[in-house]
Amino acid sequence: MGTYISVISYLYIILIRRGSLLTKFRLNAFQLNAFQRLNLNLFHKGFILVFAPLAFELIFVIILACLLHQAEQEALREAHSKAIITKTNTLTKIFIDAGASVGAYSVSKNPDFGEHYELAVAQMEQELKDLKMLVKDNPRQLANLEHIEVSARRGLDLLNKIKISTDEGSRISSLIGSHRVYKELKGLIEQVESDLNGFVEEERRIERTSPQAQARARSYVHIFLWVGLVLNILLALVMAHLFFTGITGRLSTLSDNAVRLAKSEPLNESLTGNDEIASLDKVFHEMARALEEAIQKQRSIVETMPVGLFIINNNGIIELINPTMATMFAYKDNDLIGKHISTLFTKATEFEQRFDPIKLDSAKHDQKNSTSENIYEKLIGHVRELDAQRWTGEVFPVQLTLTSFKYKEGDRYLCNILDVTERHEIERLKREFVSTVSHELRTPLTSIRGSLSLLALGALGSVSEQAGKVIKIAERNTIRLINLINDLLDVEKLEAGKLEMVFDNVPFANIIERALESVRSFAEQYNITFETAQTNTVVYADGDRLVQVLVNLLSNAVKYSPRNGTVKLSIDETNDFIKIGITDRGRGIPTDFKDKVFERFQQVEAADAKQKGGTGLGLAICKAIIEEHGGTIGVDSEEGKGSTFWFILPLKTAVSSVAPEQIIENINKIHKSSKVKENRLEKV
Amino acid sequence: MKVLIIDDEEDIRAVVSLSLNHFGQIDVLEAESGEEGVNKASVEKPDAILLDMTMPVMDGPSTLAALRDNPNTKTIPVIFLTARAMTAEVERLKNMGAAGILTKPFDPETLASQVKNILTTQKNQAKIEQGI
Repeated sequence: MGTYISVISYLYIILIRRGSLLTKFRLNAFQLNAFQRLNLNLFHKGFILVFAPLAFELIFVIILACLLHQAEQEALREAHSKAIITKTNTLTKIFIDAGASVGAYSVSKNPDFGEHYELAVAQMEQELKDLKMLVKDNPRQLANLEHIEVSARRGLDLLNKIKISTDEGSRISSLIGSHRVYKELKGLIEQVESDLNGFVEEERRIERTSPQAQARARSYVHIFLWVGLVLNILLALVMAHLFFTGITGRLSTLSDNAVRLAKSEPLNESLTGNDEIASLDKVFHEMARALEEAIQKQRSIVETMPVGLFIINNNGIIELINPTMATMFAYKDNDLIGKHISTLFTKATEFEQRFDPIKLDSAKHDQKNSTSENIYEKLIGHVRELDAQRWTGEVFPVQLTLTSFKYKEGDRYLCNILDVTERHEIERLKREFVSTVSHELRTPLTSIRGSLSLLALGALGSVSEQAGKVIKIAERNTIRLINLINDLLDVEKLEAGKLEMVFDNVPFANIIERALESVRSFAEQYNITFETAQTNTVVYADGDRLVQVLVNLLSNAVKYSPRNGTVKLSIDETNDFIKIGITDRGRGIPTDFKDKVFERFQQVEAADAKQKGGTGLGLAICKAIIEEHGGTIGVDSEEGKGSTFWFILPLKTAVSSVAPEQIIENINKIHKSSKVKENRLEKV
Repeated sequence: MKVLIIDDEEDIRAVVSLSLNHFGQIDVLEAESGEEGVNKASVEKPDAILLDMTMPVMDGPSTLAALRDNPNTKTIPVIFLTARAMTAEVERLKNMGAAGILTKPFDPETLASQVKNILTTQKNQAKIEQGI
């Protein structure tokens, strides 16, 4: 039976797996519900799965045993009836024997017949006793037997009387007596015979019905066996189904959920019930919900942030965008997907030149290591301002930033785009404001300065010594104010990238000469002398701006030098670079201030602005000018011993084939080598 | 020598006038708008015109254009006086026919000599051109 169940379960599961048997058997749904409604846990389910078939089989076996027992009983009863019939026949024979023996004795008085009679009587007693034992379970037959016994005993009494009268009486009297006794005896014998016949007939009836009962019992067993088999199969099917829906099916739902969770797909409907599988499934659903919530949160951030986000692959094809992106570029929802990144920008931008798809393709075919990946790689971490173009053709300024990340299908780049139209507008307004204010300030200052100068120079007649002094003070401060405004304007231009540079080939000696000329009278006030180096180098630069830088650095050196000191202008050259250093023997710059001096409004001591004059903008302007030339500026200083402000210019600024990184590297090299040289000189 | 200053700022006109007069012994005529300037120049025919860049109604460049259109003032050298001397602008003004550009604020002591230098250079160039 157990084999049946396992084979059927196996077949059932195969069927379920192959097709949707579940949908064909609507009955099962009901059973499933019933099973689920019970809210059983796995232990209970297992218990039912094992013990329900076991109980069924137990009942089956018990009933079968009963049926078999019944059949056996019927067989026994048949044998029993046969024994009774035999015994009854024997009894009849003995009875007749006894009668015959007495008859023969009374006629012949042969003692043998008397003995025979005695034996028959004894045998009859025994047989009656045995018969009583045999029918003791059948009250009716027992009553019949007792009735027969009474008649038999009366018969025996009569026979006894005949025998006794034979022994002692005369022949006639015995004959007369015998005749009457015989008559009575005959009636008795007939009675007993009929009773015995009835008795036997009863047993015969029992004996006759027994085979029928046996056959019936056998057919019951057969029927029961078949019905049991069918029921067993059904039970096995139900159990297999329950096992599948209640455990295996649920487990596969669970594992499917795990896979779905990993793929972040929607999970199957929650499993009902109260078992361990259901609670594990609940955990899965909670996890999925938490995950969904987290994703939702992130998504809402990404979708609502005012920054356009998009992802491109190695070939610059847009793969994903956020809604802001579509809005910003006036495209319909996902129309941007699949387009090349360059479609976002105007033809004029550097981006188009560098990231043209055709160029990218050719770059890819290039056997040398300049793959397209490198191009994007170079963009990473740099904030770039570009002109973007909407679908409508409208151009607007944006700020683009790239970051790369690894994806299973290769490298991807996350780009964010910020519409900087508003910022640009504000910057423009600021520039306009500064420009206007400066102009408005300059006009009255022109009058003031002109008037003061005219006074100071005595153009309007002589003034007293004290008045002259005051006029000088006013004039000096007016000039300072004018310088401040000029510097401010320069700084604003630098920030806006509008510092106009006119590049030309200029002999560097000429620049130095003009700068020295400008600061000579100033240096004379402090009694400072200059020590200069000679050069024949011609630089490709904006001469006026370089003069501005040199004047700034030289006048700073003069300001901070001790009186009667010397300011040294040194020149270091290679084929590609020129380095100019301006060294003073002033108080030097604290180490942590070295980088700050090139920032705006930074002076080492707050009092410097008053004492030394200056706006705190000069070095910031110098830095910007030098950087515009592709060079670099810096300071080496030792507190208390003096400072050397230096700048390095590439000699072939016009040639841009060298990558900026390369230039910086070279600058660093030359800077280091010149440092080493200086150190050697000092040692000598 | 006679110079016309066209500037809407009276103070500037006064300072320029005094400076040129005192340090360069130059006679100075004043005009407070482009229109007045063109008229005065047409009548007085000064040796040079100092022209302010930013003026209401008729600014520097349009005044220059008007001066160039007038046959009487066509050849008078014009020197711009500006507070916003950007390189690109300087180039533009020179292309328009300006003889020179002086920036505000100017130094009164050297203003006269600067004006004279510009005029001398201009004359020399004109001579060279005529010679050719």
